[in-house]
Order: sequence, then C-alpha cells, then structure tokens
Amino acid sequence: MTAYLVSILIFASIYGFVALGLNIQWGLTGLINLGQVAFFAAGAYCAALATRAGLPFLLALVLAALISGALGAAVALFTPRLREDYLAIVTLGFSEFVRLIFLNEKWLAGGPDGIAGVPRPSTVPGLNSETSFLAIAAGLLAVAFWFSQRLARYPIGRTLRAIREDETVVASIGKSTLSYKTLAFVLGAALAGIGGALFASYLTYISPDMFGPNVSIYVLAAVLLGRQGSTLGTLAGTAVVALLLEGTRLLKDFITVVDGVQLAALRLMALGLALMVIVAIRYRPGRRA
Amino acid sequence: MDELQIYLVSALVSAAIWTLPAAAISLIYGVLRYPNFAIPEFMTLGAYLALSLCALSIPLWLAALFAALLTGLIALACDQTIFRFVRAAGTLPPVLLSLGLMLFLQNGVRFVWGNDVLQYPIELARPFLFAGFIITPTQAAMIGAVAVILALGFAALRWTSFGRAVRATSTNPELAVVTGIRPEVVYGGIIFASGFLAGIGGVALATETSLTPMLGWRVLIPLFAVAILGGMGSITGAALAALLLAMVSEFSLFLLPVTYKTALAFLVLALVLLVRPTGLIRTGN
Repeated sequence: MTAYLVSILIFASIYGFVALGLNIQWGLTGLINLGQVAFFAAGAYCAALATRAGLPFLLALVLAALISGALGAAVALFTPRLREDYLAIVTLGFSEFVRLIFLNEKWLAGGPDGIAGVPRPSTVPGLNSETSFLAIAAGLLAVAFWFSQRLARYPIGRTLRAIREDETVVASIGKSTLSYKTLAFVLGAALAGIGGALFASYLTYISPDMFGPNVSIYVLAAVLLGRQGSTLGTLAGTAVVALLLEGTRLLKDFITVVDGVQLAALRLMALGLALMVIVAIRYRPGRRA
Repeated sequence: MDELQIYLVSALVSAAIWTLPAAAISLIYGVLRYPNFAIPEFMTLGAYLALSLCALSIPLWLAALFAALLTGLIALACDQTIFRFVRAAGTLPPVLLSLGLMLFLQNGVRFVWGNDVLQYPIELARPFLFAGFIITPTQAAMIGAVAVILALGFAALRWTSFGRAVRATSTNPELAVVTGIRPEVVYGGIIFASGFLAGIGGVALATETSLTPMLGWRVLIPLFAVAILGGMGSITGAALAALLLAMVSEFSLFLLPVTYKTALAFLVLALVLLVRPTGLIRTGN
C-alpha cells in the first residue's frame, strides 16, 4: 500500500513538471499548447539514450531540458502569427508527428519496441529504490516550483501576463512579443522535457505508444483545475489528476465485473468527462474566463 | 506504367475516405468557428456502429447509412448537452471540450467493443480491371457513395433554405440573426450533418483498413491538413484538397517510407499555415 502511494506521488511529481511547463505557456502567456506530450517524449527519449550511453543522470536531465527547449523554440518560431485555433491544431499535430518519428526511426529510438533498460539515478543513502526516486523527483520539482514562482513575479512574468491580456499593447511599448512568446514556449517545453527524463528513468522502459495525446490532456486538465496562471494551483491540479488517474488503478482489485481493458477504458473515459466538466464550469455563461 | 495506375487508384481511395470527415471539420469551423478534434472519434464510432448493425445481418451499405444517422444524433446530443453552454465563450472552450470528448469516445468504443482488430464481413470479390487500373468492387462502391453524398451536400448548401442559412451564418453571423435566421437551428443542423459525414467516412476507412479503437485518431492529421488546405468552411475546397493531399502522399512513396505518410501531411499542414494562414483555396468571401 505504501509502495502504491509512493508510485502515485512519483507520477504526480513527473506530471507536475509537464503541467508547470504548460502553465508558463498557457496559464501565464496565453499560448495554448495541446501537444505538450511532444516535449515530454523528446525529453524521455533523450534521457533514455543519454543514460544508456553512460552519461550521468543529472547531465542527461540537463540534456533533455535543452533538446526539448530547442524543439519548443522551433514550434514557437514557426507559429508566431497563428491565432489560438490554428496553434491548437499545429501543437496537437506536432505531438503526433514527433511520436511518428520515434515510432519509425528504429536506429534512433528502437521503433515500436521502444528503449528498455534505462538506468535509474543512484539511490539516496538510507532509502530504498522507490522512495529514493521520489525524494529526487520531489526535490527537483520543488526547484521547478520555485523557479516558476520567481518567473511569474519578475518583470519577465509581468510582460508574459501582459501579452496574454493584450499583445498589441505590449508590442506598442516596443517589446518584441515574439521573443517573449518564444521564451515562454522554450521554458515550458524544457520543463516538460525534464518530466520526460524522469518518466523514462522511473519506468526504465519507454515506447512510442506511451506518448499519445493522453499526457497532453492530463496536464491541460491539471492547469485548468488549478486556475490558469497560478503555480501552486497547477501543482494542486496535477495532484488531483494523478490521484484520479493512477489512484483508480487500485480499483482493479475490487471491481470484477469488467476486465482489465474495460477498466482502463473506463478510467480514461472518466478523465475525458472530467475535462469536459471542468471546462464547462470554468467557462460557464456569465463568467469571465 | 502499371505502377502509376496503382498509385492513382490508391490516391483516389484515400481522397474519398478523407473528403467527408474533412468537410465535417471544415463546416463546423466555418459556422461554429472552432476546430473539432472529436470528428475522427465520431468516425470510429460510426464504423463500429455499422459493424454491430452488420451483425444483425443488415447489408453493409444500409448499416453504414443507419450508423451514420445514429452518429449524427449522438454528435447532436453531445453538442446540446455540453458544447451549447460555451457558445459565447470564444474558440478555446469548445476546442478543449472536443479534446475531452475525443478521449471519452475513443475509450467508450474500447469499453464496448474491446481492443481487438475487427473486420467487416465483406466477401472477397474479383477486382475490376480496365486500362491497367485495378479496383475492388468495395472501393468502387465506396468512392461512388462518397461522390453522391458530396454532391448532395453541395446541392443542399447551395439550393436549400437551410443551406442558405448556413452560408449566411458562416459569412456574417450577426447579419444572419438580423435577417431572422435562428442560429441554434443552424448549429444543430451542422453538428448533425458533421456526425453523419464522419460516420460515413469512418465506415469507408474501415472497409479499407480494419476496425480498432484508434481508427479515427490515425487520420486526425491528414483530415486537418485537408480541411486547412481546402480553406476552412468550404466543402468543395475540402474535396479538392483531399485529392491534392492524397496525390502528394501517394507520390511521396517514391521518396519516403510508407510510415511517413501521416508525418508528411503534418508538414503540409504546417507549411500552409505558415505561408497562407487562411488556406490555399480562396473562398467566396
């Protein structure tokens, strides 16, 4: 039971990075990104390949953040003039595009079989493998949280919020909105990349089918739950989503009327429904979004 | 030169599969102004409903028709129970709702029908052969049916009062309301029609491949590429763009491995949006 709780907390920490990243892009700057899983996947693959090649864990983490951040820059620079609706299409399409590359490039990423035997970071003395991983993930998440908080309060954060409210005004006082938007995208993507690196190392095995649109939807729900823009709210939202998602795995032991596939389907149906309910409440008529 | 004919038939088949669901995406975008990511899942739903109707020994073409009508009704029900309440809230809320609905429908199909790969009970038949073109009777029937539905849809938009109301709402919503058009009727009709078109497209896709819960998701990118290429809001544009993209992806096989067809569609999509954010084919307004 404790082991189970630890694993839920680890997943929550991992998704926490991805959600904090989305919160910078969407919550703070107002750039919708429906393909956050692309950066998550890039970070996961990058870290998996790097650690298997013998690089130390921390270095792999930095590398994952850099690669994902660079991808984020590419997406941002390719979509500067796009309106919200087109950005939604491009980011969602991009995430599937990235997944297809990992699926097809056997030499790079193992193709459909994925990559197995990804090493975990060395254990913190006095803890077992699982709790040690939780300590590392939670510690890193605390750093990311602190960073996000500072970012939101610094002048940069104010400019990003101003872009969310009215881009033209920001441009009119001589600030390059493109570079600020790119920065937001890069930071958000890099955080997702770190989450991906932790994900690969925790599971020790990754394959392309883990990087479908579901991950993007989890973090969208988390950021929405936590009132876009609030760092603490985002983490609380992530905790709720992780509990809903990973916590309901436990039900397998109690529910016998449906089989494993059906239970997994039910859990994702619940998540889809939850997202719809959150959106309907958040944007209900008469409420300023 | 036989190879050329094979590619052409294959492109025609892909175009026929993509046209109707892409037109559905395009219509919703034109009238309700949001990209609906649940359309591919309505394809999956329609394909599976038709399978269940086939099991009642209804012939496939009739099952497809009933299944598409049912899908249209389900789409309408989703719209009236959820989407209706965020009409005034801008683009993003319905986009997010459609994403949630996508997850819900895909896993709903998985819950009811399971993860197994299924097939329609289509008997093997000798393909038609002329001038080097090889086409199976199922493919010919599918392409014919799509052409008929497309023509009917075009005629309905052009010459019926509902079609006029749709075009008016798409061009200038405020003015349309002023002239006495009831927007909710237009929205409901468009959603029902989109569900219907997606359902037919789903059956068409499943006759060419097989039924899995991921059936529709796999064509999400090509559908959006087609809808954008055709200029959102135009069904003739969607049909032409479907043909164009299908040709490009078939002939890309000379250069690229087959698994990159979908990835290529994404590049086309991104490129069109970068160069001409309003789509390639100029629409009337």
